[in-house]
Amino acid sequence: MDNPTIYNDAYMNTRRIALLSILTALSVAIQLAPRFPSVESTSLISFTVGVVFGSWTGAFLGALVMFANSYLSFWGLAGLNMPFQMVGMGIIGLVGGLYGKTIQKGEIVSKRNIIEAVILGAFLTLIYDILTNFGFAVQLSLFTGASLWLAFVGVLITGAVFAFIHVASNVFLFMVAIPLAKIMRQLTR
Amino acid sequence: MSIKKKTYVLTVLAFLVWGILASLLAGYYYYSYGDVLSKTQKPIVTVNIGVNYGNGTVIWHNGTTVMSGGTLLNVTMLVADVKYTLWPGAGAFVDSIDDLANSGSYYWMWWMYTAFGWSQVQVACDRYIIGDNETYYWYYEDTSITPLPSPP
Repeated sequence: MDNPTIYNDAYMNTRRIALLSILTALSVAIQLAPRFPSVESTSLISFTVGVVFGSWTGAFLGALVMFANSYLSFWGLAGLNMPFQMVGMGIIGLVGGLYGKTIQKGEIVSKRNIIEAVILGAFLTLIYDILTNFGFAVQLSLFTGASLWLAFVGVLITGAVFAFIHVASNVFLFMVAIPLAKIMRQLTR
Repeated sequence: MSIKKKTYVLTVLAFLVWGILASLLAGYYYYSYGDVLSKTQKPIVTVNIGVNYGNGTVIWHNGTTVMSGGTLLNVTMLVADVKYTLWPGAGAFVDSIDDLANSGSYYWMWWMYTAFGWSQVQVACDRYIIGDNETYYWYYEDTSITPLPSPP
């Protein structure tokens, strides 16, 4: 193609669009289903999509899922926390894309890559939790008049167990991130 | 990025996650221990509970006395007919109070009166240890409204 656009083979083909649509719908459905608190798979899917399709696609998918989730979630409206959730999940997809660039072609599923993905997953989950806890603290501070700093520390401490469950569950989930990326790559080739 | 540099960065990240999480959990247990300790100093505690049925009816159960160490669910069950579901990890989710069940976007939410006015406590009612002279409010309200309307 002489004049590449996002619709040509260099960026998107029908298989990729179909897979991304299914993954987005699947992520939203899992987010909305009654589930164990703080256990989610959107971060895994955003990260993996980032690895396979690039940073911006991963970030867009993560932010889009959290946007839908903020209105329809089983746990209630996200309210002012919505932008923090979107940014947090966007960062996970973005870093997935950056990480994908560091993986050598042909060695996508190695023990080393799986360990790297798990560490990144734990770190990104913690960043997501800190961001969304900050969002909740902003909301709390605005509506109660409490100082933002005090509210943030309070929310971080009272939410510590949920943060732990979130990070621990994602450590296990991210073990499949790299094998999943390989499958996605094969499906869209 | 070279393999050596990548290993270094990821090792630092792993320790960072461990350090932050361990500090947060230590803070949580320090706070929880102090909270439970302060709430169980007296054998008997007195609390006030308001129940707003969402139709203009509000019933107050002031001066309700219970053994210390009890939860908000325990004390609510003393003053009203409560049906609830236990969610693993999250605690009790109140389905109905006095036969008024959650419906559509209307749910039973609980509030507590604090120095900042009415505050919504982000914990299940069976996980909250009641304290002496505290005031709680069960509010049957439309949860589709943001921010959630506080008790009148």
